[in-house]
Amino acid sequence: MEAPMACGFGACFACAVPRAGGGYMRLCVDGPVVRAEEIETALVAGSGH
Amino acid sequence: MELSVEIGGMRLEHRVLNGSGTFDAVAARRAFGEEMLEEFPFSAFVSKTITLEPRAGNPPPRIFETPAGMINSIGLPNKGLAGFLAADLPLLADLAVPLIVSVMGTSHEEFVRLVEGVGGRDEVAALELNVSCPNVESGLIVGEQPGETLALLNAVRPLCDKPLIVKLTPNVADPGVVARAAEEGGADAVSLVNTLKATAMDPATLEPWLGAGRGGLSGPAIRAIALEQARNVAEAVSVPVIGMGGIESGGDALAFLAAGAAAVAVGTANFRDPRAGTRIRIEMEAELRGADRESLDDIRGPIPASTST
Repeated sequence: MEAPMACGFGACFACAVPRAGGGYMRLCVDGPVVRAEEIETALVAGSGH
Repeated sequence: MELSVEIGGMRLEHRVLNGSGTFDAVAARRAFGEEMLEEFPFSAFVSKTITLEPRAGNPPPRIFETPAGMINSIGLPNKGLAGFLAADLPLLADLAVPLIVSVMGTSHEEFVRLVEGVGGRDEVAALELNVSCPNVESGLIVGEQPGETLALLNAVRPLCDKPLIVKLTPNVADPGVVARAAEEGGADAVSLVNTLKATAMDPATLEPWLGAGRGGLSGPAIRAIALEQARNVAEAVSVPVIGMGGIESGGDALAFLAAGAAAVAVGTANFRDPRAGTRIRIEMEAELRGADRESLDDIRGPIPASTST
């Protein structure tokens, strides 16, 4: 996945994507490859919300 | 070269700090190794803001790139006071530089609990009060109101014998007035600027780009504004000023010191280069030597106030 990213090492919290069940993960340190069931795809920016 | 400075009784080895939320000592150590702690880029580490309860942060997208800057609306995601004390503070205790913990509450009660909870810990050298948020009791942004700022200091100052730094917002007509209120309330120092309120529109939909709708602008785009505000505040108060806003080079840092700041902080530049603080300090020293200035005292002093705008 991709998200706008400022620091790339977990400091800025810009690249957040919604976790299934609430909260966010940082794609730079928790991704960029994530299991589809771990994210709330309907809330991902650019997915048509 | 002698670059050390004392802020509220806290000795800093040099003049370059980080802006809150723009550098993470624990994440940097994890990503770049022990060398990051051994050659820590800053003379003190300012933590990301912590709140009483955990916060998830704002819905994405959280940032937008602008000419010479960026807009963010991160939303202060953090583990909350208890989570910070249990999970983060033990890791931050390894730092060789003083730890300044940034706290934000939405009421005096929350600020009181944060200041008591953080201020009582030996690992913490100083606290920074993030006042760029609404007080739920009044609905007013604390840092936009001198009265609110003074009332907050009156509530927390007696509870804390560590230096209190008030982080000022630039989103006011005259930051010097708020800075004077902070000083009157017993603040040991003030830091500025926080981000300038900003909006970006999604070019495709013409709807606000940021998930939270609005954000704050940082980076070189705001440097000249920040420099003026730091100068204004340095003229208004006698406590030390920590100046920041778009600093990217040693020359930028020296400009803030010349405007009356006792120290500077690097923020957005850390995102592009986590060692920016080290580079900026080295550049400062080289520029001072090149100009045959043996200390920063040479460049500090009253700058004549302009009578026109």
